[in-house]
Amino acid sequence: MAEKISFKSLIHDISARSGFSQNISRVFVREMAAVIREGLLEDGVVHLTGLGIFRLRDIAERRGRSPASGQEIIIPAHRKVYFKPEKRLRELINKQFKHLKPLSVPEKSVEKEKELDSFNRFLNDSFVDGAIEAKVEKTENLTEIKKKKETVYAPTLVQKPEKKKSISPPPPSYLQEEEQTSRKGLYATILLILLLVFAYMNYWPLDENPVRQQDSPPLQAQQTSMEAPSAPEKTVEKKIKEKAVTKPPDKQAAPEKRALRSHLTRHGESLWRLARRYYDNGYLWPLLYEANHDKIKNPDFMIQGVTLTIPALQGTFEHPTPTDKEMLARGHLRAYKAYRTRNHKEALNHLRVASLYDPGLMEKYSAEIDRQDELLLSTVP
Amino acid sequence: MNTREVLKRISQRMNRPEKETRTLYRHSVGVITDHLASQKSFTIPQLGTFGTVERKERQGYNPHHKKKMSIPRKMVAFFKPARAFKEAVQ
Repeated sequence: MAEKISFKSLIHDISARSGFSQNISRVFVREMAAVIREGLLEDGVVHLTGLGIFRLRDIAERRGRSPASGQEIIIPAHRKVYFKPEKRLRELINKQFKHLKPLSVPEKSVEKEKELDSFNRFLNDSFVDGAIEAKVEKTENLTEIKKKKETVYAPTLVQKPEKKKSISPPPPSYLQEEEQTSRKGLYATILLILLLVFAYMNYWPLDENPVRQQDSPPLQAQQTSMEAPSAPEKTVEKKIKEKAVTKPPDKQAAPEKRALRSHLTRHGESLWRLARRYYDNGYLWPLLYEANHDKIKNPDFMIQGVTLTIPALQGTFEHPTPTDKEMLARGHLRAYKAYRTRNHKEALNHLRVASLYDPGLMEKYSAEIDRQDELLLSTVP
Repeated sequence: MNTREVLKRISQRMNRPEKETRTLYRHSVGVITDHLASQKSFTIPQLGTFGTVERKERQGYNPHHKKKMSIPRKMVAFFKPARAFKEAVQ
């Protein structure tokens, strides 16, 4: 293990490094030891750069047991010398185990709790902005899903109670291996169910929308034709919303999904989420940002209770029309500006996308684009 | 007491300029850290023994997250003061 080095070879190393004679090096180290002792007795603390801190600590009187006889003795108050290496030195010493980090140990708990818990954790990890909303709907959904998927996943659901029984009594040692493998299977099924729940959760809000989406477009068309010239758009939007809520969907009109709409922001929403909801594609969020740039200061941070305009998309994400392209380019350019002022690393990407959508726009706004970014863009294809 | 005061005192005792003691100090610290980093121990008379030990992996508890954690093994330095030093501080 720890190899010991004699004082002599230590002195040899020091003199070889510093170029001084071994004699001087030895005297130096001895004097250093003496001065450290002196300093400790005087101040109680000695800081040495590159090495660490020597400190004197008062230890109070306490009861103890003699290790030899087991008799209770009183350990008198005394002083002790402590040495704490500098952080750099500690890190240097621990270099070989540097990569090891503390890990949480899985705890055994009731199956049901675990399922919910891991479900929550799963949501929190991968779906931060929707987590709060999702937690409320969670229980309801779980039961629903289970009913729905029971037919498909009947074997796994049937297996569960059996395993619970097998776990509860302490199993003999030769069974443990088998149990472990079955447990692995159980975890896998739980994970599978959770994944399904998660997938369902994602589509659930969409199921709700079509009701509103389907009846609002024709209404909106009527409203705009009647009122748009006189009234500002916002009031029209609100009226549409009210009517959409009060009127039952009497007609199954052709789903004109890409119409102009409005949206009242709620807790946990983001531009990305809204773009995904209204355009089926999160990458179109700059469109929303462009249309509502006067209401949104930071595109990464949404304020709840704001009515946003949801502009219409004429084409699709894959095949945008020229007007779509121009709007998207503007949106990306605005996102670029927002990110550039915040020194966000995404800035250049938005500039690139904007230039792809509408190269003409870049020349128009070249005054607002950072010179360096322009250069970078021209070098990178 | 800090390094500067220590070096000042050493140069007074050795009757040598502080510049020399400073270089000597720098190089001795380098040697000591190198030896400790390569898990070697050594004794300085009248001061004590420096060395390293491996702290084994153990189970800990994170009071904030209320979770059991496994704390990985770690190499740490130790200093064991010499008997004369121990008695001198009493």
